[in-house]
Amino acid sequence: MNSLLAHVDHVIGAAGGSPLYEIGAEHLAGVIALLVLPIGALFLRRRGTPDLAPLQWLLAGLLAASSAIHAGLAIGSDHGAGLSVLFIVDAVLLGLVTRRVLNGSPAGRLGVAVLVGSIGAYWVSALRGEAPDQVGLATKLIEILALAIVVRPAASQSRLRSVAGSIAIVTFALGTATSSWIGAFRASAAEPGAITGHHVHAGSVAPPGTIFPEVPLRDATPAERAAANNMVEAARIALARYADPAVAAADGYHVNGLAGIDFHASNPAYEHDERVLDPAHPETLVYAVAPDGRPVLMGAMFLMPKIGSPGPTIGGPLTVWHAHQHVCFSLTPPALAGLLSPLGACPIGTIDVPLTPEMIHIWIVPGAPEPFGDLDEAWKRDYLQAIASRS
Amino acid sequence: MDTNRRHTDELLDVARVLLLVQGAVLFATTIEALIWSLIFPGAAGTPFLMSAVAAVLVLVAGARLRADRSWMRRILYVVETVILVNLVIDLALAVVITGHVPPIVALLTRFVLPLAVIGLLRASTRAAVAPVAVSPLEATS
Repeated sequence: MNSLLAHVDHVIGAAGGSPLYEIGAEHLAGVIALLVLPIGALFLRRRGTPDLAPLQWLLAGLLAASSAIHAGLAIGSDHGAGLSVLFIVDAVLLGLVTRRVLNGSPAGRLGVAVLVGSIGAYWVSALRGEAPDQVGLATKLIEILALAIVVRPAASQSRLRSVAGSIAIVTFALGTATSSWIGAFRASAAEPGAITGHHVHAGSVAPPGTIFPEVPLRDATPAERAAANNMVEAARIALARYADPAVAAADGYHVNGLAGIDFHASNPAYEHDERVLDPAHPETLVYAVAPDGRPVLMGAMFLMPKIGSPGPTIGGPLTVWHAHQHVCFSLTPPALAGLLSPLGACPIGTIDVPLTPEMIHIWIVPGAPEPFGDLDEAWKRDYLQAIASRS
Repeated sequence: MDTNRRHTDELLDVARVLLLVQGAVLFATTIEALIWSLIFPGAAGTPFLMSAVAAVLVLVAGARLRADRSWMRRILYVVETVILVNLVIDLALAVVITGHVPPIVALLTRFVLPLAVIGLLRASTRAAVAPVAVSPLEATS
């Protein structure tokens, strides 16, 4: 168990996991700043508790929490003085609205403006490629809840206004999720080689749902390069018989419904046979369907038998394994159903698989630009088109 | 009786706001499920349909929640329980596989929110049926 945890820490921590599901080190000060809230509550109690409805107490608590987090972020931010000043301004404004609510006044237009501004600023930051993390997302969730209270119409106001308020809150939740996805993927694409090569270097980040171990920036040694080439060649020879999907099916691969250009046909029996990186017994075959409808064996995916077991990097930096995190898995029918949302939920009826075993792709098609890792989509389409036009 | 009624209404006010945000989160999850179902067609759209049903139920039941509508509460109890059971499974998997709990936001939206809604619904029901304390002075007058 200890070795598993050590490995998990290695791949989930700063070295390889997406920040979307983690707490960024520079945002830790925001979490610590929340400790100020109980002190504030004690101070308030001494001064005399105001007579507020439960909803107003909740609003005051949410605004105070967001204010404290922003104050903490101003201290911990390493993105320059400009951003720190913006965090402080946000914290002060949120604090002013909190005071207003505690005095029994409505949050009013100032409350709406501050909350909308704070959520909007997060969207802009994420859309510009700032990797979102759990502190940012939790803060936006707090602010959306506060906004839902502020824009909630009084009983005497029209039904139309109530519907408009509900649509606004749904839009803010959807906008926060969308901008977070874009931010997380843009941040990971900042270093283009990181994804295709299936590894990250210090300072770069993995896309959501994927864990790449951090790899030192060095070239493969001649011995590693030879081992990697031998592996590809061995796989090419051993897997030639699976060019016909019927042969693969006879050996236990699930080829039913073969479609698309990245069809993974798994063999459950091989997933538990304890063989590691055996070119003759890959756990999964990868097919693509050419434009003329012909299935083409593109390569194979090798899976480690256990979660947390590191794969053998026979080719050094050329053969880097990866794992997946927070994959939503449907049970009705059993299938992949996406990734855990930035808002914390998998679709209803699916479970969140927090970590998969490590895996590596080997591409056996001639001329593949990357024999390991992800195969470039454009190259793949061109290759399939060429095969179809040759026939 | 007015005090009880006011207290019940105040608790339901909080529940309505929480349900609106929970419905918004479920709506966003539904849109994501739709997009994922295009990328991973194997799931056959069932997660999308289930998420859509949950989002509609939470948003509609939240908007129509009243002290005298017990069937709305029952619907909400069912949806919240499904969300909580789902989280318990995910929590168990996360602890067993990685030794970590799920991310904070998952705990907020799938544990704190449903638990708060259930707690508020139960408290409002209790407040609605609680006997009113009448002072001896009022009793004799």
